[in-house]
Amino acid sequence: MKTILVIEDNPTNMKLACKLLRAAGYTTLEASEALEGIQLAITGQPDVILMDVELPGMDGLSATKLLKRDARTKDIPVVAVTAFAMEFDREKALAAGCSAYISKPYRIKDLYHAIDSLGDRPGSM
Amino acid sequence: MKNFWQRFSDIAPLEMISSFRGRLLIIISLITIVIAISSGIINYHLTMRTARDEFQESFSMMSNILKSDIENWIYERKFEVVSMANNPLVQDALLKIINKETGYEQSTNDLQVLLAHFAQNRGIYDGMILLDTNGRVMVSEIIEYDNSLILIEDIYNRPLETGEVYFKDVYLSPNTNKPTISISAPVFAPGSSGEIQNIIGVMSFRITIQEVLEPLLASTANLGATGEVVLVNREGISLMDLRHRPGSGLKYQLQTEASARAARGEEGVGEFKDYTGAQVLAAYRYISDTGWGLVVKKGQEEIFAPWRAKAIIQIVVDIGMALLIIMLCSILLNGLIRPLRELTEGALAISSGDLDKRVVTGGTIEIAALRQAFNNMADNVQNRIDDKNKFHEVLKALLFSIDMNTLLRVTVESVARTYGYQVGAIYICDQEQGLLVLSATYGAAKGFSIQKISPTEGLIGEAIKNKEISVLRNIPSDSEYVIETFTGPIAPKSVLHIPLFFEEQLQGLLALASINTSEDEENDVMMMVADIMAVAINQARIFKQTQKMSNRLQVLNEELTAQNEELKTQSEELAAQSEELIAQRRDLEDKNQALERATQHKSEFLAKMSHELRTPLNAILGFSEALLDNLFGKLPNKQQECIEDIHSSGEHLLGLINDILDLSKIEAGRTDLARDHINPTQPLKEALAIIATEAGKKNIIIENKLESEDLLIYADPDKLKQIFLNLLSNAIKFSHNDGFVSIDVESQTDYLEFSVADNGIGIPPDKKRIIFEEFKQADNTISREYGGTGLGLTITHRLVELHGGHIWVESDFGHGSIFKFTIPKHTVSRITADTSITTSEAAPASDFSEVPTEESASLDETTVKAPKTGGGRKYSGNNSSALLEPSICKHLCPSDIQILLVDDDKHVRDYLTTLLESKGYHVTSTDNGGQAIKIALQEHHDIIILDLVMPDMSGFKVLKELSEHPGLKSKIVVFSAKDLTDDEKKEINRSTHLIYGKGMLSQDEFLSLIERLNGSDKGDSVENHTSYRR
Repeated sequence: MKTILVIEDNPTNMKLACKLLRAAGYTTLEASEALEGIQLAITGQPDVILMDVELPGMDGLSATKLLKRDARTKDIPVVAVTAFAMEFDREKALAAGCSAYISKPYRIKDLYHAIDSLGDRPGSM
Repeated sequence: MKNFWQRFSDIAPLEMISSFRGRLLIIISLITIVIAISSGIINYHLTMRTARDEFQESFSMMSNILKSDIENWIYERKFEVVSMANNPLVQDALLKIINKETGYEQSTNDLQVLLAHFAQNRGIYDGMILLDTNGRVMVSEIIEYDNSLILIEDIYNRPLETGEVYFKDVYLSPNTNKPTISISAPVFAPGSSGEIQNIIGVMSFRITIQEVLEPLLASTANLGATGEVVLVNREGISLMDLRHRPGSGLKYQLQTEASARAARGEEGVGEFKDYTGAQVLAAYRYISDTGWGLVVKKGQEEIFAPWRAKAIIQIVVDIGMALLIIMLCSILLNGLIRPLRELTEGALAISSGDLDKRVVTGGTIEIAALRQAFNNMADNVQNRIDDKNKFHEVLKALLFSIDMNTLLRVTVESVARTYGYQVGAIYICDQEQGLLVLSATYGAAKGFSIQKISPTEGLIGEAIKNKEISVLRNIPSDSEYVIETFTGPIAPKSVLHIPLFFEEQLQGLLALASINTSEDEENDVMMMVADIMAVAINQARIFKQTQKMSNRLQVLNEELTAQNEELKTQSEELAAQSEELIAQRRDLEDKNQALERATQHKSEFLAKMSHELRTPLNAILGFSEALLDNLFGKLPNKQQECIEDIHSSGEHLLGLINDILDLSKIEAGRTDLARDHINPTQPLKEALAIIATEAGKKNIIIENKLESEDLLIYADPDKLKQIFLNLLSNAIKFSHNDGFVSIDVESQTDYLEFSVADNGIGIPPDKKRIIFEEFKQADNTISREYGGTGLGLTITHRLVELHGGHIWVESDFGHGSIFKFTIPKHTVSRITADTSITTSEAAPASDFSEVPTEESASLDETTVKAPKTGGGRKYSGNNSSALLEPSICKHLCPSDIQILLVDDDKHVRDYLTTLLESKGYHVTSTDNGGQAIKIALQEHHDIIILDLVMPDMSGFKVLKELSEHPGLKSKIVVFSAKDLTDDEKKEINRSTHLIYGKGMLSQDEFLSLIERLNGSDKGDSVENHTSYRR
């Protein structure tokens, strides 16, 4: 089954995302800060990263840029999640290297749909 | 004569040229002298030519005579020889002798006697011989010659050969030693004709030419001191002694041109050089029989000397005449100039003030007239000056005082005395009475004058009417006019009445009386005096008035000063008030700014709040949805209901938040329209798809009349979709079940008018205006009954206006509503104006009636002014980070901050660049020290983040180089994993601000450090933040 790295600073939302994902049968990795997330992405090699855009310190889009620059993580699709529902956020997210984008509060099917739409990552389990 | 020269030499050279006399003299002198000299020269040349012609003629004649003499003489000699040779006696005798006939001896004797006799008779012959054909001398007057042979000589040969007479040129005779010629002729046989074969002998005579030369020598003697006649033979050898070469006969060859020409056979006259080298006049002739040349010549000097003398005398006489003419002219001119000088002196004397100067009269008619005219002119000048002086006196009196009475008194006295009147009076015109009133008198006895005169009557009236002086003369002695003297009253001879006018206005009258007869010439002067008096009187009058006015003005002025003081006080009060007003305005401005800030904060707050609300809402909605979806197992019914409530409340809250955010975005002017020319049917279809479910639930039929339309508008498709969605969901929301909703469009010139109609509950007329305001549904109970946030129409309203259109509602309460809105077909700015008008009709109470239009919003990204109602609110348009974290902008916005990152580790560079860029900083990065120094010096960087251990150049070296540029204002942060010694730390501390060990700072700490650096001064940071953590 796919492993999904959830980077999210709000513990409740972290819990929701993980529960929903696990309910759908995914394995989850959790990180509450961008740097921690990047490290986990390198070590854990998840299939998808669910990246909260608003993070303390380095924000999610910057973290995505870093991930996309690193050979070890650049192929992992990133789904940006934001509560900041401005139109240009979507463009920014795509420009930073995110593969998909969902806005908070998200519908469960939106979440699943976003992950499903990424398809299988080449070379993943 | 001496006087003349003296006068002539008195004139200075300059005067000679500039004075009339000098110029005339120079011209006359030049003309006469030129004439004299040229006539002298011409005369001289003519004389010389005449002389030459005369001499040439006489020389020609003389030479012709001499030539014919010589030719005649030669002819005679030839004739004598021929006739002797052909004498029959001689022929017979010679034949007898040659043939030695009997008696030949007798014949020889006879011939000898004959020849001797002949020679003796003529005296010029010697050596007369008779030869036979063999050249043997048969007979000779010289005995010794007999029987000798003369074979080779031409004298013998030529006659034999030619049968003609032969002439032998001059030679010195061996007998006489004199110049001699020989002539020989053939002797023919007796009775035969002259044929060569008949020649029996030759007769030859030797002839001395002394006879020829003598007349020549005689002629020479007649040719003055230098004249000479020369005879030359073919070779140019003189046949006789030359005058200047004694003993040169037959010895001297002449090389001269004349003799050469003559010897060549030419004849003529000319000027040549003779053998002595002197210039001569010569005539040359050729004597053809002998081939001799004859030259008659005389030295030019000698020929021309007397003529030249004559010519020179002529020139001297001419020049003398010229000088005489010049002298006469000079005398004549002096006569002309003298009176001119006198006149000049006179004029100079007059101009220097000697007015009595006059010139002597007389002289020629013209001069006398000139002198007379000058004297007349001087008289005139003197008179004028007298007049002027008199006038001056009067003027002085007029200027004596400005006071009327004094003025009149002094003036009348001055006029009367100056012009010789014994009595004078001035009357001044009294405007009120219309009479002339006596104002001042001079020399009049008491009660003499009339006190008042009417200006219209009598003699005076006439004078005033004509503006002329009236003069009375020849007054009879028994007249009533009298002048009192100690001898009793005397009748005046003349009385003058002079009206005084100033600018056509009668000022008064001047009256004068004299015991002398006045002259008419004085009238002009008196008129002038009158004019000036009138001016003075007028001025005195004006002065009087001015004085009165001045007094009144002073009073007025004092009043004005008082008023002015009052005004000043008022003005000061006003200034104080104005200052207060300015202070109030400043206050208002401050408040306004505060208000703007508050508005900005409001927008930022709304955006921030929306975000903050979404985060927990995510969990609420997520969990409740998960529960409802039975992801965590089936719930009991009651709990299921509760969770449904929670979920729907959450949804409602989310709708509210979204709408609020939409509105705040629009209000903040941050809604960018992605406008294009689009067909509105597509967005409408999308909106219809969304609300289809909702409509289906209530079984509402939706009729779309746009489907077939071919339309274009200038709009943002997403926003248009939102407009349709809002209106449609509203229509469905307020429609009864089984209702009917229809969408239609109408094309106008510049815009499309859309309408969304329903047959729902409708809107009460009094609510039509407020429904576009926030949270204003027609009825407060509605939200409970029909749901909705109450912001949908407000947002729709704003979106339509952003497009430059407007929206309104037509409703029949209880029977449905029609929402209509317009969207322009093209970009048109004028719609804006229309909008505000129609909007105020539709929703006049709206706070947002002047929301920034698309146009103004695009002008300035950061601030957009909106309007009257809000009192000048400003909507923040900053980017998202600024909105979310305004604190970053405390000092400088990160977008203004340039950071230079120097690290050889690519990962570190990437990480830090991304982190800093995520906060909006501008980051330049490089992996080596040398490059870093180059970049840092080229371009300003606020902060330099420096690694210490780098391969090409260490951080220490970079620091050292940078510290050598004091102009560099960058703040330097050292990040290093290196263990630093105390010395190294000290060294770094000298030139840097902060040192941190790599990995010692969390992201937050790092970012806040950069932020602090950005806002702090260099000094502070060194003191407060230098730290090193292991």
